[in-house]
Amino acid sequence: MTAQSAGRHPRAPTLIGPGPGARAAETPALVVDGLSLAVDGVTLLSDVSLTVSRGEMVGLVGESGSGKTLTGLSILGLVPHGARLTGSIRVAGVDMTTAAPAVLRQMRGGQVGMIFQEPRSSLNPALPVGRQIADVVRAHLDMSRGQARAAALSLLGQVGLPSPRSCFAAYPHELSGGMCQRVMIAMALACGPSLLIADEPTTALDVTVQAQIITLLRSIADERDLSVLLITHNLAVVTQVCDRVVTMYCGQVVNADTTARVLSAPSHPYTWALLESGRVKLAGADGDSSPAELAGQPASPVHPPQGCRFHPRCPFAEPRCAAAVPEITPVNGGQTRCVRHGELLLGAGQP
Amino acid sequence: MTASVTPGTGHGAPAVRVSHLRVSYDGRRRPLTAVDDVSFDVGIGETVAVIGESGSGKSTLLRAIAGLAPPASGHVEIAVGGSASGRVQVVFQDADLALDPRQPVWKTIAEPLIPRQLRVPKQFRDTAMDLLREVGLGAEVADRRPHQLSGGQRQRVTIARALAARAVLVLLDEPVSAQDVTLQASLLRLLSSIQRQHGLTYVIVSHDIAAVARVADRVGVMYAAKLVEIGPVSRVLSEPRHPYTQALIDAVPRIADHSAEMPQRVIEGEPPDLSNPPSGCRFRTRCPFATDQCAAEVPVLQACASDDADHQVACHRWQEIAALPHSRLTPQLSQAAARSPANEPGIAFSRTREGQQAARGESGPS
Repeated sequence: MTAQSAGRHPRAPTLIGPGPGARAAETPALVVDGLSLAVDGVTLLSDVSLTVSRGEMVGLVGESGSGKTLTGLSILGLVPHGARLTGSIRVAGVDMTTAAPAVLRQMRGGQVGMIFQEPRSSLNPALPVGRQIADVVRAHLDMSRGQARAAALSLLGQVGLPSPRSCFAAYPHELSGGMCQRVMIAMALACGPSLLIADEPTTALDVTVQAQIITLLRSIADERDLSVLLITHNLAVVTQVCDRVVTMYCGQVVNADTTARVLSAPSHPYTWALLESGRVKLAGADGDSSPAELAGQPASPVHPPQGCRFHPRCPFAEPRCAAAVPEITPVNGGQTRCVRHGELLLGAGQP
Repeated sequence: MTASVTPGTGHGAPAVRVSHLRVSYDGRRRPLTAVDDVSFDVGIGETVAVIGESGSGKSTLLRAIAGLAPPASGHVEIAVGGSASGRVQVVFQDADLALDPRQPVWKTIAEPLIPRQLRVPKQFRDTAMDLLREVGLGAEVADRRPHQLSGGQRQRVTIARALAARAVLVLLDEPVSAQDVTLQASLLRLLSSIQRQHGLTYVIVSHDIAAVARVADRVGVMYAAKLVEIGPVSRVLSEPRHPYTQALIDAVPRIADHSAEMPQRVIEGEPPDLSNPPSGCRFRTRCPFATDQCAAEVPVLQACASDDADHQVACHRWQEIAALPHSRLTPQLSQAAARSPANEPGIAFSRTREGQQAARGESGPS
C-alpha cells in the first residue's frame, strides 16, 4: 500500500504532523477480521473482529485474561512462538498476518506505534532515552545523527517533558514513571505512525499522572489525526477519551458500540456490568449504595463455558443462553453477542 | 460506617497512636525522610485509610506501625491487649509474594496457629478450612498451591492467615489495587464483614481513594512524607480542603456522563524528590494557589472548624480556597484552559471528546 511505502521515504526532519498525506481516506487504520489464535491447542482468541477508523480513538476493554493484550500483540505480529493464527489483520491496508519479516519490521515503530503498561521495562536501562528515540528514527527514516537528534529533542518537548535537553541525556532510572511513559509516547510517535496501540498506558502510574497522560494521548491523537487503540481494564478512562468501545470477554468480542450509546444503553450485560462496577462512589457514607457487582471469576479460555461464555456470571442468563454460542449481531449501529439484547434494557442504574 | 467506636480523637485509648513519627532512609548518596512528623490516632474497631501517590511515604508509615521500619524520632504506640505477638498482622499488596509457593494454602493459613514449628500438624486442617470458608473460599481450594489460585483468591488467603493469627490490628497495603474492578467490591465487602465479626482495627494504605472510600471511617492524605489532610471519609471526599486532596479526587477517572461535558482538572507536575523537598509547603511547586508564604512557612495540621477537631488540614490558604465561589474550578482554571494543556505549568482543562471534536470543527461519531 501507499502508506507503507511512504513510511520508508525520508520526510522533513521535523517528522511531526499527521502521517503520510497520500493515504486513502476510506481505508480504516486498522481492520481485524475473524482473528483466531491458538497456543498449544488452547484457543485464546476466537473470531475477533474490530475496526479503527482514521483519527478514531477506540477503547478495548475487558477483565484480565479476556484476550485484549493478545489482540494488541497480534496486530503487531508479536504472537507467542508456535501460535496458530487465522483471520486477517490489516493495518493501513497491509496484512500483518502474511507480511514478510522485513515489512513487519518497517510497520512496527513506523506505521504502528506501541506503548506498553510498564514504561521502564520497555526502555533500555543502559542507554540515555534520547538516544533510544533517535535510534528508532534512524531505523525507519533516512536521517543523519544530527537530524535524528533534533527530531528526538523536538518529540520530547511535544510530549510535555519540562526540559527536553536534560531528558535527552537521562537514563530511564533517572526519570519518574510518568516521565518514562512520556518518553515511550515520544518514541511511538517518532516516525509519524497512523496507528497507535496503547496497552494499559496509565495503569502503573499514579492517579494524578494518569490524568496527565490520558489528556496528552487525546490531544496528540487530535492534533495528528492519529488512530488509537487504547487497551485497558478501566472503562472510566475509555469513556472519557474514546469514540468507541469494544468489549472482550474470554477471547471473544462481545460488544462494540459508540461511547455515547455504551453509556446510555449498553447492549451487552457484560459491558453493563463493567460500567456499573466502574461507577465511582465518592460521596462517602450515603447509605450502602455500593454499585452492582459481578460475581464469580472470569471464564477461562482453556475450558470456555458452553453457549454464551458470559452466561455463568450473567444476572440475566436464561436456559437458552447455555444452549449455543450467540452470534455477534448488529444492533443500532453497534454489535452485540447476546441472544437477549432485544429484551434487555440496560440503562444507567437498574435494568 | 462499620464501627460504632468514636473516631479516635481522644475518646478512650486508641488502638494505634502515631506521634510525631519520622522515618528516614540513610542511603549513602541520597538520604531521605519518607515519613516526616506524622501524627494521628486510630480508634479501636476503626478503619483509617491513608491515601497517597507512590513515594508519598504511605507504605513506610505502614511498615513503621508494623515495627518493620525503625522510627528516627517520634513513636508508635499500639494498644492491642495482651501479648502483642501476632496481634498485628500485615496483608501485603502482592499476595503472590506473600504466600509460600510450595505449600498448600491450608498449611499457609494454619502456620500462625503453631508458631515456631516447622511442620503443620494435620489437626489444624479443620481450623484452616473454617477460615477459608470465612473468607469466601470453597474447601476445594485448601489443597491447592498459590499458583493455582487467581489473584483475588490469593488475597483472600492472606486475609485468612491474618485471622488465624487472631489479629486485632490489621495493616493492609493496597488490598485491592491489583484486582479487576469487578472483584474489588466483593473483596472490600469481605473486609468490612470480617472487621465487624472480629472487632478488628484496620489501617489501609492505598493510592486509590475511590476503592477505600467504601470501607474507611476516616481518611488521611499524604503528600511527600507529610500528612496534609485527615478527617471523616464523607467530609474529606465531599469538602476536601487541601488543594492536593482536591486534585487527587478530581483525577480519579470516572465513567463520563454522556449528557454533561465533564471538565476534568489535571494537575501538572509530579511529586518532589524526597531527598531534596521544597521549602515550606511541599505541594507549593504544583499548587495553583501558592504564595510566598507557602514557600517560607511549613503549614501544620489545623482543625477546619473550631468545634470540629476531626477534620484537619495543613494549608496556609485553605480558608480562602474554600471561600472561592467554585473552589474546585477556580479562575486560574479558565485561564489555563485557553493555553495549551501540555506545555503550561499549573492546571489545565481537558474537555470531553465531544468538546474537542467541536473545537476541531467535526461532528460526533453518532
